[in-house]
Amino acid sequence: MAKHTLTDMPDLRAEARALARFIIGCEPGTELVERYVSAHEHLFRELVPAGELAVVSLAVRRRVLLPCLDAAAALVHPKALLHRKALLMAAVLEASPRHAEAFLPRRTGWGSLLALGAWAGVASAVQITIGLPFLWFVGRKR
Amino acid sequence: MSSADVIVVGSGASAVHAAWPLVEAGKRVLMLDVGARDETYAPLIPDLPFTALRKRDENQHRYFLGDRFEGVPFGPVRVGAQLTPPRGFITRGVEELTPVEAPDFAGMESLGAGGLASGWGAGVGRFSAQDLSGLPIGPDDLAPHYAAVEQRIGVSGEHDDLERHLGRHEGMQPGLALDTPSRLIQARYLKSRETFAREGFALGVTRLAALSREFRGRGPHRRDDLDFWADKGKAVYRPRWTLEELCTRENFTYLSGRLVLSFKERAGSLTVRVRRVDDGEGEPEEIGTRALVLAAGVFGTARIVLRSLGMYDRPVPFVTNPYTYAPCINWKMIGREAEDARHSLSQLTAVYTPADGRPLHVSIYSYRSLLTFKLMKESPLSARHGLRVMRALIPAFSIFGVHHPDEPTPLKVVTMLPASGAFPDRLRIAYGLREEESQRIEKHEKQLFRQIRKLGCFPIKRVRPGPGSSIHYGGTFPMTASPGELQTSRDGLLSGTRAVYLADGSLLRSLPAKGLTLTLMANADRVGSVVVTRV
Repeated sequence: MAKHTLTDMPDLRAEARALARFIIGCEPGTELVERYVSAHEHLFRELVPAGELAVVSLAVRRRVLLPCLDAAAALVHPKALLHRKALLMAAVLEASPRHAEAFLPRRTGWGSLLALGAWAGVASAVQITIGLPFLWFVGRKR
Repeated sequence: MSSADVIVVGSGASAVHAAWPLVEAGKRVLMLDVGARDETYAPLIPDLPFTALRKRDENQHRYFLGDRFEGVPFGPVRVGAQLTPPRGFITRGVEELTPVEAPDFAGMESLGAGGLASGWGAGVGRFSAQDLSGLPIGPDDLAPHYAAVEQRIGVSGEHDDLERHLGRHEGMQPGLALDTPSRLIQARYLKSRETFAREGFALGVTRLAALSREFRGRGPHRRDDLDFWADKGKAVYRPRWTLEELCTRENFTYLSGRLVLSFKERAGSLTVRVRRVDDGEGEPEEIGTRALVLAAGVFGTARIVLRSLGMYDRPVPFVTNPYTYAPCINWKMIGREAEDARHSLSQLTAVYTPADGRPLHVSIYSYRSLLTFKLMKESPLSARHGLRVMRALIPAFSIFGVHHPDEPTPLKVVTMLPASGAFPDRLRIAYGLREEESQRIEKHEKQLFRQIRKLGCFPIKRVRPGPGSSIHYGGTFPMTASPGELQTSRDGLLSGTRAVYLADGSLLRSLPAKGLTLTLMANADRVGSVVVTRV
């Protein structure tokens, strides 16, 4: 199977911005983007299948698909490259005073918790339904 | 120092307490240790509580994520989550210097200054007569040494229902204040205490080697929720504090950067072969001594003993507590604010005694002291939804860590394999449970989780990280009344030697479910006191 190293990715910076916007809804500063890029030197040194890279590339090019692809990956393939990159971006954002607040525990009553659970469930179901075929089709690339 | 009255190997919980009575008695003691330390992250962590530094410190990414992003693990969650980047020194150099062949073993070794107890959860309890069964020593033999160690390290806790299981501690300080989720669990327990007692379940405030008041220039605990990251005020006991005290004594020498390879006893002489690991690849040196105390941890000591005696390919027994952890939803916490001022260690301890077995011990934690992204990784949701759901659930998460007792069987062995080709000699660790042991664990956990649900905590899942994940090890060279080959006497003297003593978990035959570190320290103090009379 053809494989590529992750540093082959053309634009890790665009990827960082897309992931941050997806996770917390705002752009990260340049420093955080550079931190995300430098993390790749340590965490993503292995070779990965071309299909995994194609999924990431599609998610960055078509940002509307990013939530769907990540939802599908988290459910059926939690070690997928896209999901691991999303979690890395979450770690980078969380460990910064500017964005830490978005990750701190939040007091949530029963009503809000049930509403949140229902919303996350329904939204995830829709996203997975859309994302799975893309994940399967694009991920087959060799 | 070219020779010493006594050489002590290692600097962990057993080593420093074995050395203490020797130094007190005026013996010249040389401690040899690899002694890795954290010189990178600790100085970066400001004197702020966990939540405050998350909101304010621009440098937090360095110690939360690590300069090499070692704090962003992409593998499955494992026990030892407390091994954050500032605690990474505990296992530094282990793979290179002490190779192991153990594909299914999830255990941990340390070459760091202070050993595994540098990241210890600090839970303490004394062993009962039942816990010591099969050994040639009883609670009365250990009692004065428990008291001596407790006065050295400082213990806090409450005189509650745990006393029957964990004993009384010398000079015990009041327990550290509980956090909100744990107070709710405790209240529910106290409401139905008699019913719980009838069903063999007891709960109380975790006995900790952590200070609620100032003691020997340390503490009190600042309730800054930083115990997984830093040792502010030295409120939580680490063997390094005792090592620092020992280093002030003239008759004590600490040499770091030394890996002890083997010992050799000839007529009238005992030498230790040592490799310098901080200074390139020099020839191993030999150091003479009158007595040797091995306290390098169960695996470290096994390597030295088996290599020295040429016992390659000879299996020796080994025990480790089977461990399961379960994240639970504490439903009474939903909608409640959890205060930030807290400690990060185990808040409550439960003991469940099944009708047909030995007690299980449970450490109860709240999930607040680590970063949220680590929990998102465990969720089957996208990063965005996972974040929102986890933020809402974190205040209600309680983590129950369950330890089971362990007995030796032929399926649990360590073997020293000889060097072959390019590979140096190495330790093979094999651990398997018999069918009846697995069934007993499953059955007792089901009974236990019934009690946990009565506390208002609902397990989401049960996780068994694998053999060795309890980080409690023992049983390799057990003490017996009439020691045979590769066994030890009640004084810790290795059979067939004149002056080689063992002073760590190697000496225990089996492991009860309760934490063993206090007992290791007390027994090491006992062995050290014996060596005083022999040198």
